[in-house]
Amino acid sequence: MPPPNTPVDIEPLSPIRSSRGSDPASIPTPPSPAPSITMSAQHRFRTTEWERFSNEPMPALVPIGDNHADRSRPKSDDPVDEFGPTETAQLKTPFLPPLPAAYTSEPVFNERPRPIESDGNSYYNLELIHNIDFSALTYIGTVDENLICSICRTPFFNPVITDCCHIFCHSCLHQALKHGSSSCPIDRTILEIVNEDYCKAPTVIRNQVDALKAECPACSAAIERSVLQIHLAQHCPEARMACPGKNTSKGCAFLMLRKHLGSECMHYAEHCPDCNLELMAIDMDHHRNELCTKRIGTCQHCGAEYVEIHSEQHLLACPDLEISCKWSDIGCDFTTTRKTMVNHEKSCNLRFMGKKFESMAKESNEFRNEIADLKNERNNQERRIKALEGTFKSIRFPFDDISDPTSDAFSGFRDNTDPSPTGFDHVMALMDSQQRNINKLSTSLRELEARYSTLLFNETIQIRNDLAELRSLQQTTSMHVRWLMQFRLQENRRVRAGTGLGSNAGGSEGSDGSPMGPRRSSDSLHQPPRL
Amino acid sequence: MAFATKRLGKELTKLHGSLPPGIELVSAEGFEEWLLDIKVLDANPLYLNQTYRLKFKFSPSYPIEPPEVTFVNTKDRPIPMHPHIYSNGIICLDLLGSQGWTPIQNVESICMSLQSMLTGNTKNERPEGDQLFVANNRRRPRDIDFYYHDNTV
Repeated sequence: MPPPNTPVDIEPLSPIRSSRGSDPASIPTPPSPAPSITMSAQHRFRTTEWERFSNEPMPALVPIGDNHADRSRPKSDDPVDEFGPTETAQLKTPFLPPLPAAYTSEPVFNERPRPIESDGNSYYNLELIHNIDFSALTYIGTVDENLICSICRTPFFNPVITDCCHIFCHSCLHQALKHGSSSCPIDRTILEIVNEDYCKAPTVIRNQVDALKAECPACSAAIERSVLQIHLAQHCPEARMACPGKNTSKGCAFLMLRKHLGSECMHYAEHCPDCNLELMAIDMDHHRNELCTKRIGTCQHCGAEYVEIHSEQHLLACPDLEISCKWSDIGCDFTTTRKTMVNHEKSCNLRFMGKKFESMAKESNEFRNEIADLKNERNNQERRIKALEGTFKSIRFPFDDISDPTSDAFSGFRDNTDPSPTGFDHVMALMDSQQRNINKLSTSLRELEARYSTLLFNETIQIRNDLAELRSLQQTTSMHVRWLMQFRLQENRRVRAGTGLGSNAGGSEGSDGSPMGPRRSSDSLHQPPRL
Repeated sequence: MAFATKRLGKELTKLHGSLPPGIELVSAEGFEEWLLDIKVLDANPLYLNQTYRLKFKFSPSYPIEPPEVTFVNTKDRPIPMHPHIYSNGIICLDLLGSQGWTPIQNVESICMSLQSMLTGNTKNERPEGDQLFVANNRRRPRDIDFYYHDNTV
């Protein structure tokens, strides 16, 4: 694909020559290009390139860690250096595709990197921390509804479980409690952040959500969520990583994609051999293959010259390229160069068939579309019918069928029977329909019964609970009464014993008084309690 | 805005996929304001054969904060008659206030709640003091302190 703002040249040579004449910015005179013109051309290039990828104006990219910027810039014979440090740094930023949406920020350098293994390049990226936004990941397939947080509607990330046994993402619940009301979003149980009314969800849940497969935000491969970080740090070809020049004396601070990784730092300025544009060596391949409008290629079939990036368009029109007959898909296996194909097409045996075939294909396509439309419509209607049925069922009285002789059951019966039924058949059919009605009635009765029994059950639960409570209350009260009576009894006995002693000591007439004690004490129960 | 956008994006794909009967998505351009049409499905004579238009306005902290939901009056979309709906479309419903709201609610569930609120109504009247409120109110619905007293709705 050519950049959108360049005209597409299919004709090989003349347009290039004329544009060369009209555009002074890119005259290939390497020794001393006018600096200001070079800059504007270069800037235009960079901006176009950026917009091709991201459809946004190009932001000022600066390398991570400004102190490295100076060292990373190539030295000496560099005409653009005259433009001051900030502009050059900006112009010489290597191109990186826009950050994937699931990243919260550019990866940052780890403060304490692990020691770098010497044997392979793949370990360089362990120095980078990838800030992935797990809630923006695209998951593969449909995720079980039970593993989806009801606040953010994505699979749980770092799940926590509340005191009332509901599970949310930690960040979701934290936000809800901090900024909303302090109660569980599902059942409104009071929850406080400060009391830590929630804790880590069980490992079973964590394992389940960690095992979900998600698209890698950089390379779109299906990766288990728990190993995504490792994938980005060690394997993903599209992931950003530190330039191999970082740990050399050069200390290059740029990031690059793993697939562009070479053995050494490619972040130095180079001139394109075709258009003399100055850009970073790492971007050179991409520039020469996809963007450079001055790189001329020669067609191996017809010998014509064309702009390299338009080679595909040329192949579509090249007169000497061998192509197969237009009717090859219905059986003609003739191949020849494009310019002689015209003659063959005039005489091809299949040309009449081909036309018929084309029109049939068109027709079948139309039918296919129509069928799809009809299917859609049918689905809609089915849904509507279901909805209507739902509402209809809820308002229909179950005995309608019998009490109303013009109802569906009867009319249906009349329509379906033979136009001249014998009396016997008629009676049989009538009985049949009655039987059906009875069946229907009995099922609706059963349903009603079930509904009322559950209703009743629900209502009686409350009463039963109250009853149980009353019973327990009554028991405690009776216990108290018993205890009080016991107490009273003992008290009385004591009093009785005291008076009995007194009477024994006072007189000897109570010689038969020994059975009196218990009787009196039992009598004392009937006296009003003295409180 | 990111949190609200992501959540609303999820809801939008779901709404495009399937909707409960009587609810239709009219427009959802961007993640700030959506329009939906609702119908009352049963034979309640107050709302028979009528369609009502709802306007949802989302704040950047949705779903932690409730969206602002009002009825909109257009040529063929009246404001439904209900003792808790003012004639300017403002709805007095506790689950749309910050106390009754919970973040597990969504656009679909709000529409269904409003449907059922209309279905259960039998009174053909506006709230008390409707004229005065409509004439004087300059506040946004979220800033109004409603007093939720009626538990029958």
